[in-house]
Amino acid sequence: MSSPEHTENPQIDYAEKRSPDTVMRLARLGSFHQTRVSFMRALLRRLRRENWRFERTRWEIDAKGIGFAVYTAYGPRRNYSLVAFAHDLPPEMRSDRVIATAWDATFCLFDGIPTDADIQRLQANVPLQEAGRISDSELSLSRANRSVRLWAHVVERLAAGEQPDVELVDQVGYLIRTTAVYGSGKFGAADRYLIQDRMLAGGPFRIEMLSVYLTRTFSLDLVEHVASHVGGEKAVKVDPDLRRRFGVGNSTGLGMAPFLINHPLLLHRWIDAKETALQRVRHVRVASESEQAHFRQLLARVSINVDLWHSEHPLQVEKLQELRRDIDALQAHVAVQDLSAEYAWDTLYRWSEAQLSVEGQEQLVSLMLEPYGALVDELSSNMWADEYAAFRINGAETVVSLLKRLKNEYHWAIDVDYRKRENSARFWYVSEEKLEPRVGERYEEEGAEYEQPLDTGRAAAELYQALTNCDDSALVADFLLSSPEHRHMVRRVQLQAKYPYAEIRDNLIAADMLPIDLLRCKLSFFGATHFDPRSDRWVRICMFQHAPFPHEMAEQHDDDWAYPPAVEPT
Amino acid sequence: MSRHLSLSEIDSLCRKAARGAGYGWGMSEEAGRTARWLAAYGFQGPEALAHWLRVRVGDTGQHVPALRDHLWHAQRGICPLTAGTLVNDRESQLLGGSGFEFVQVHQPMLMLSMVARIVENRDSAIVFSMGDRDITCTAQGIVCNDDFPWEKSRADVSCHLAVSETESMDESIEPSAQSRSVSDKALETLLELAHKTYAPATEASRLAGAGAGTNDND
Repeated sequence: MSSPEHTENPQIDYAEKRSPDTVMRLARLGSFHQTRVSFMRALLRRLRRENWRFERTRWEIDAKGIGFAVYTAYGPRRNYSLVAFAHDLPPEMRSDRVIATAWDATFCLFDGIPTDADIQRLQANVPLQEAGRISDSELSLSRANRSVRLWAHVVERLAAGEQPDVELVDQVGYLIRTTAVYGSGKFGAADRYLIQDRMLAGGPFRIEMLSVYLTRTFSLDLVEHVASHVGGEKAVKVDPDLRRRFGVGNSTGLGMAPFLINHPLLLHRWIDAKETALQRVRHVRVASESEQAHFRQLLARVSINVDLWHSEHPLQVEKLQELRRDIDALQAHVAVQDLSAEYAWDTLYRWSEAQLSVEGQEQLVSLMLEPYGALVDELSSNMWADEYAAFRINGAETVVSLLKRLKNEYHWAIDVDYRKRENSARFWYVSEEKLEPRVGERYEEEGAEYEQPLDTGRAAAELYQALTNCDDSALVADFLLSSPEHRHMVRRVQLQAKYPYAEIRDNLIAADMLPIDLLRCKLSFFGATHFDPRSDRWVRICMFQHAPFPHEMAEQHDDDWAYPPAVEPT
Repeated sequence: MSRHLSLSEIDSLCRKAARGAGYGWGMSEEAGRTARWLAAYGFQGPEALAHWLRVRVGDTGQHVPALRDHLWHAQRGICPLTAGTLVNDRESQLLGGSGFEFVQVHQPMLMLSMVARIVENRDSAIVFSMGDRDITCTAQGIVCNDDFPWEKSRADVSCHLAVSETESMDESIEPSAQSRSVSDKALETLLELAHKTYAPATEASRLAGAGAGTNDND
């Protein structure tokens, strides 16, 4: 392993962490890729390191594929069980939208091993999703729909004793896609603070990722089960290498978008982990032969990954074309650049800033971290946040000091003229119908009086205006007693002062704001791949594709699954 | 009758309810956190908030306190959320030894979390008094006697730094993150107020707002 060496060459201009002005822009956040510190990868590393054992403990599923199953993960300290219910869903009811009321399969992650009584209780509630209630014994609630096309194809092939078509598998990427995975106290589930001290479950979204990981196994088991009933003795199972090409899909709409704004400290921790990882790698003085080889090998696999990444959405099609060009340029560049030179990673990153699109730059960032697990993986343990501890306002700060913070850190917000329609065209609201976040057009639709506080830029500008009318010696405490309507924004500004990556530095109510940028940022930290926007506010992704299945974890290379396997030379 | 809610559901519901009752988002966040904190300690936080929001609805400035002769007064009794944030925002005054005296605070229990959190990471202790009864707040938890008048709907409140070691009291209470029951009556009020933060759907918003409309049978 290499380690950062700060002393040997005092001439070098050591890379700082990238500034929030560079990183916290929607266009860049919306170009993030998964990295070594992403949650799926951190989860699988821990499961492997701690030697978790997995068992399908119940399989009460009939010939048509209807019934329930339980998968239990046995850890060194605790056990968790996925309780999966498989349903018969008529096509006209299949909808990925949150307004759906029925799904192909529904799930919960149970804290421990469920008894028959637990399963009975869950059977009465989990299939109802939002309309049911779960309890402190459950950690997440989720549901999934089939990819009708791929499901039918796989059943047909397996039943006939044949393997599914690789190209079709690659094109879709999954048999089922989850359409919501709820955790953290939703619908009666255990509150986050009940599990925050746990080694595995305490990390951000670990529970949700574990649930999805086991859901993937369930989807393969179920398709093989159905095929075996259709084909009888002729039926076969999916070959292991092909099996790993199946991930789990996910379809996500605006419900996820406000999360990053509503959890500023958490956002800071996630971004800071990634940026610290990048900085550490840029500080590596000399890359070893094996580290260089690792990078080159993964670059080739990234290239395959880009070829396998499909989207029909014009925005993503363009980004993918740029990424294709960028990967070609990067491959050409590293063919000639000496990666054994001093600070070659830093040089390479600086080259990318001038030569690659933002999409390509972020791909390179992810790639540069790959050879340096020993240097960066531990950062994934600092991506949680006790948001209650950071909630209190410092009333002793002077108004002058707060104004200075706004000038320095909210310069992107305070000079914008929000009376112009394009700068305040949108408003975020929660729909009465399904209690989910939505984006409206302020000047065309009704309902702006229900606006949610996602207008961070405009609120900062209003706060700035209000503060300029205050006495210089006034304290924040005095200001807030007379102007409590600014309390929300004062809290954000003070938080941002301690946590520089806490605020997205873009106008979230502008006419040209793209909600999918928020979705992609969050999903990249989950570890998602193959972002496929269906509109500017709706995206499909793939999760755990190429990952080892639970029973393969010990025999596969550690944490080497995030990109498709290299093509064997023929 | 009552219903079990997780603490995060309590937080979220109470935040929306305060917003629905007319508070700004920042104060509404305080309301959510306060109700959650009280519920974690086993107290009737959501119920107290529901009670206060019922009293307050339609009335705004007359509950904001002003200082007169070292006492904080408001025309029609003091808003507990405003009083709580006031102490929170002036913690240096409290830690410096000057106390706060409030005359007639509504649902005074709602102030407690904001006062208690001042010493969450400190060695100091704060005494929160309602009438002639005290609670001592420390980093470890809160200590009070069995007969503390939790349910008082209005009381004079004072907060000051504890000068001596905590006197021996009957009960030391620590928080838990387990779900809690919330009374049906409070739930009804909170849901009704929270509902005011939701925009009624229109046909246009149903489709455009979520950005869907694609076929999912693929």
